[in-house]
Amino acid sequence: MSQSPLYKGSLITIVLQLLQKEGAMYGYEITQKVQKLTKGKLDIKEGALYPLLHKLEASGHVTVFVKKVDNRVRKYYELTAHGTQETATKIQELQAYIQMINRLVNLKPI
Amino acid sequence: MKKLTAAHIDVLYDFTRKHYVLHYDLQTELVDHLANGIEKQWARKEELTFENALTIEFKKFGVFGFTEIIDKRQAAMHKRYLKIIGKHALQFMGSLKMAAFMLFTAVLILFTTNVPSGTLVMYGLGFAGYVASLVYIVVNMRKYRKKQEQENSKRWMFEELIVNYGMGTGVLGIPYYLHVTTFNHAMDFTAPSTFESYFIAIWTALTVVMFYLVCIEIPKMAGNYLAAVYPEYAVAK
Repeated sequence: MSQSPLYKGSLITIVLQLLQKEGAMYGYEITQKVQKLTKGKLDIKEGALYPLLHKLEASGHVTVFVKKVDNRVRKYYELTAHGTQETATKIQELQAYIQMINRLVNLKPI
Repeated sequence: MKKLTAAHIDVLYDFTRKHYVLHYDLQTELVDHLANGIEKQWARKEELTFENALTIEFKKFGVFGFTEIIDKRQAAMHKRYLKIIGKHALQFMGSLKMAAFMLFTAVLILFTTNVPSGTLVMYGLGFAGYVASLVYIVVNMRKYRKKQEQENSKRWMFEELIVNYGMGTGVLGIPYYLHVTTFNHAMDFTAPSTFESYFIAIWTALTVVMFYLVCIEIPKMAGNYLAAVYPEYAVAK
């Protein structure tokens, strides 16, 4: 499933929704949470996750803070008000897309 | 559960540096990620060596390693920096400085349109100023890098962008470059048209403002911007 191109366009929605539900999270935690929720069927690649998080940070959809944990510094991402609005928009878009594909695949009349 | 020691964390920082992650901000995030992965592996198989666990974790980043993350991080930082330039430009337009800019532009236009050979002189002055600003930026960059090396300071991507991005003012030199090359005969400033006289005056004024914003005003506020961009800046310094 992780190799499927289908999930790539949905990654931003997955991450935003996760941050909305779980609150502040760090990169590794996001990968583990997705694996757990999908029972290991979806594996978010690090090479895709971090560029996305940095893009969301630059666009003001998320804000960051750090905590010293054990011997290291951990960076957390948290949704901003702007990010919360974006999450709602992205979920609506994804739902509309799923419905459309469903109609096409099931060949139901639109 | 087996945990990484401070010495292991230092090894991870070295590892990221060896894989071309030169900036502390990104290193820190990747170090934490690798550390979490290694500790998770140890939770399953405690006898696994640190080196083997690290190799397994790094493989998860794919064949290009950290390259894509570095490139995209830089692109995101550029975007953020351009927003800051835009914010300063807007503030400039809404301030008294704008009146000074308009007055300055008007003086330059009067000069290019009324003084004999004014456009040619302005072109020469503008071009010399442009070259001088590039020299100023390059010298500044070298000083910054030398200081970084001497003090063995942590490198911050956004800080380097603020110091280096003065090179962005290079874009404003395009008219001079085009004049020297492509438009050498089309825009002859020894016998300028009204358009050319106005154009060179306005462009020179814009170059001065851009230089002021990018090389003087924004670097003065670098500390504030770095603290806003990097919450880890205060922790690391």
